[in-house]
Amino acid sequence: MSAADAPVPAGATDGPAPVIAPVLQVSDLQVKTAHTTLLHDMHFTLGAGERLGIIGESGSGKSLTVLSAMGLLPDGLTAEGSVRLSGCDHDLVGATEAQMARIRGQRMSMVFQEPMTALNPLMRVGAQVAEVMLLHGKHSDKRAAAADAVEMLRRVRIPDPQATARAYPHQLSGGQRQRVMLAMALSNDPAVLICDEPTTALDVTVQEQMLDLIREGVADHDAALLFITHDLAVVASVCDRVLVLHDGRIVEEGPVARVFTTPEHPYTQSLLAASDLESGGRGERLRNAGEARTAAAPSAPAPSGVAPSAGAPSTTAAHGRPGRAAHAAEADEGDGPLITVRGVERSYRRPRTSLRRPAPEVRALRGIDLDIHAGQRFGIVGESGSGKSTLIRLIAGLDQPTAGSIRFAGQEIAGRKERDLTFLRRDLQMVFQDPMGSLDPRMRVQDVIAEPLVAQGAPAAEQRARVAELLEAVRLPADAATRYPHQFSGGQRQRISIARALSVRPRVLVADEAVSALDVSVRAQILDLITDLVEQYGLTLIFVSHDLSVIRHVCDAVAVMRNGVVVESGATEQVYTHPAHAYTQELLAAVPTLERSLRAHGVHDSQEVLGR
Amino acid sequence: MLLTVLRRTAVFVASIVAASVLVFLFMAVLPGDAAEVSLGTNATPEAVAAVRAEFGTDRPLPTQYVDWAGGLLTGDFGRSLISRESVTAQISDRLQVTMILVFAAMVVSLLIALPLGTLAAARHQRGSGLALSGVSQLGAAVPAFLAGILLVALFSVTLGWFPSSGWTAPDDDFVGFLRQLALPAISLGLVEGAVLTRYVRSAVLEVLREDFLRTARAKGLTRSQALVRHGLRNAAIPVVTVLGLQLAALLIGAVVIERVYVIPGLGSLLLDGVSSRDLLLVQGVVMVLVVAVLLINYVVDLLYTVIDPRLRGS
Repeated sequence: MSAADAPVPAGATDGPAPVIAPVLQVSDLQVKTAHTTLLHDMHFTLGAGERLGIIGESGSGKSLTVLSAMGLLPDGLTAEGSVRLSGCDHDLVGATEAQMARIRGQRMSMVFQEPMTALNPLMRVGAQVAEVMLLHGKHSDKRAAAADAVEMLRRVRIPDPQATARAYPHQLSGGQRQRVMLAMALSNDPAVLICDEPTTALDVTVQEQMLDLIREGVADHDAALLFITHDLAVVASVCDRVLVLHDGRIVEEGPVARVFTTPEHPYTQSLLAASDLESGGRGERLRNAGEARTAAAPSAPAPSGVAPSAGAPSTTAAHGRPGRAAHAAEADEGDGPLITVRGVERSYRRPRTSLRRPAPEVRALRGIDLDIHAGQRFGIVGESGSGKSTLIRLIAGLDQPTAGSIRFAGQEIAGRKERDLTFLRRDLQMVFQDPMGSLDPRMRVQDVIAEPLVAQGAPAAEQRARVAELLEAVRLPADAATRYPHQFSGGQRQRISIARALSVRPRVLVADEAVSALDVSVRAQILDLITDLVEQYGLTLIFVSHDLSVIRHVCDAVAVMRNGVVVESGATEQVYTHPAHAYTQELLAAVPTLERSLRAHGVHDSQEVLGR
Repeated sequence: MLLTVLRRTAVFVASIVAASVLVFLFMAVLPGDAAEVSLGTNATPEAVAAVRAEFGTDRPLPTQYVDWAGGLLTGDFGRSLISRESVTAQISDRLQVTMILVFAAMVVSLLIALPLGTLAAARHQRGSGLALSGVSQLGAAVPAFLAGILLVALFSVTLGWFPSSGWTAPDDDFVGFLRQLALPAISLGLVEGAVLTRYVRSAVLEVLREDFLRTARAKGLTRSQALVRHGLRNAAIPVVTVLGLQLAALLIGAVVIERVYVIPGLGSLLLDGVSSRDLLLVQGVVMVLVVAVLLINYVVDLLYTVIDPRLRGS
């Protein structure tokens, strides 16, 4: 499909935008709570058939903008100003629920971020697609609507649409559910399609297919697209024009090719710098969007390898890590790998579904062999269901393999009892993905960080001293110790998690999708922090992610997993530049990169892309 | 699906067997011998022994259990030691009355809870929602017998609309039956209805926050259409759980209410049996109540799989 290959018509890069009749005109839009204004003076127009991207970090007001256009603002928020839709003689702001109901799903439709919860779990998906057509009178006959629903599912390329129409949402994968959402949104040929982070929860290869479908869908229906994302490469691959939102205001607006090559506003520049994991070599510090925000000027890249605060953390390193590291090295007897995984299998049994057949078995891991050396930064990359989380649970001794051997510093951990693994609890610590869920909301930060120490029976004075030291190391203020997790932002909570992991002076730090839930600028800060700490404390890092560019940025060795098997492993640069396995090639090709996306917009010089 | 049903049925049957053993043992270890009670204080040891031999209570416990449980399978609860009448006949008469009462009370509580709970949730930020929520909290705090006494004072004593006590079989006089059923059913259902209102409210509130309700509105349903078409069935899942527990509570509540309104149901039969040490009768009534509660839970489990496709297995 040509729409997939060429995001914008050639020539759209330069010159004035062609004059097209606006389908959606937003002016003076504000969104307020009882106390504050969250969205200020939004002005923009969306032309017929145009594809407009809205980018910004969480809390910037992207979603509020489109939700107020749809009349779907959460309770307690009110919109002011004006949103006009062509062919509709009343303003959408202040319209009644009944008036909006006639427009939603008909003239304007929407695909949401979370495919797992956006569909009614008790209703067959075909009926859910048919409902939107019956509702707006595309069909009056239920049977015709059901047949058309199957046709819509076919158009979003759902395999076996007949059978899928009869399935319930929980029987479909995330990608398929998101296709169902798109089928629903396109059912009535809307004038405007709104997509709010439609691919954020999906794997890269699935994301690529979904983006193709969205581009095709709007092209086929001649619909205008309003596309919200935090991912600059995605927006560049889908949209012609972008709005950059920051703290509830539009800070920059223009054609993709212009905004991403010569960004004018410091915030846009910092956003570009923070998301640029590609160009910088491994271990190089990222330019921080946060720094730029306070300085209100483009920040110079910090010199690589410089520890940010040279005081306490380095003394920690002096009497902390190196001593133990030396001791550990002796125990390792030479320089064999620190962690050896051989022939590891892990299977689960599902509940029986039939009296005659045995319970189905799920083979989550099959014949895994890995060597992780001390001091290495080892990346494990794969899509959801590839078995990467299962594998690190085994390495961390949180689960037992069905077969095979896992040795940590020469000691077998497979098949050992929980109480025989105390050495592992001390030597290996984890940082988890969800900065909200992985901290106990009723514990003070002091107690959160000290918990592993308490578990090992350290005296109270030592605990307090250690907590203070760690807070400084993760660059949190000392008074953070007495506060509760909910008083911190996502990025700060991840710092707390890291401090907790480091409290027992582990040799190995395992980060399981540790930056996946964070905004790009925060992600950049946390990645910098992790690489700094790994260096300072001489840690071995195991970094698990679905994000190939993050892995490339952080790790020196990588294992690519798929369906419970390591399909390829080796030095990061080798694997990324000369992928040997077809799946690795497919994965790498699916990752949207700014450079590749912008080339389609007629921008060729990579230096130009980075706005340097 | 079939496997799920079979699994639940097996659990149901096993629970009944376990319950019958427990009920039997409990009665057996209780002090007080029915033979001595039935013969009075002047009975000779020989006479007591004769009665025991007649009813088989001198045999070892396992034999007695097998005998009793075997009888249950064929619907034979044995013969009362006191009145020498068939326990089965007494229970089946009374069971019908209690079932009608519990069912009517359930209907009353659903009629109260479903609309009020939904309304309280839909308007949770407005005064009317808060007021409903407050009233239901108050209602839940009133014991059923107190509600009964208050209702009698108002509707029979002061207004004279309904009789204050007694029972008429529906076959004899249907209007009279309804008039006599009204107050007991309302006093039993009112309180349970108030409790249920709170559960319905929280279930609907929970559903209102779900992403798929926002999807439904994005498709062009109004807020209330979205709630009715997509929300309520989802809210039914937690409500059905509570409904099962409430039915059990209603059965127990009926025992008390039958006393207040002088209704010849299982409750009064049970209390009579206890006071006359009629072991077999009490054992039979308790067993019937236990089976009823287990049956309710069994039906609730099956209902889940009907409502929620995620529980049907693949």
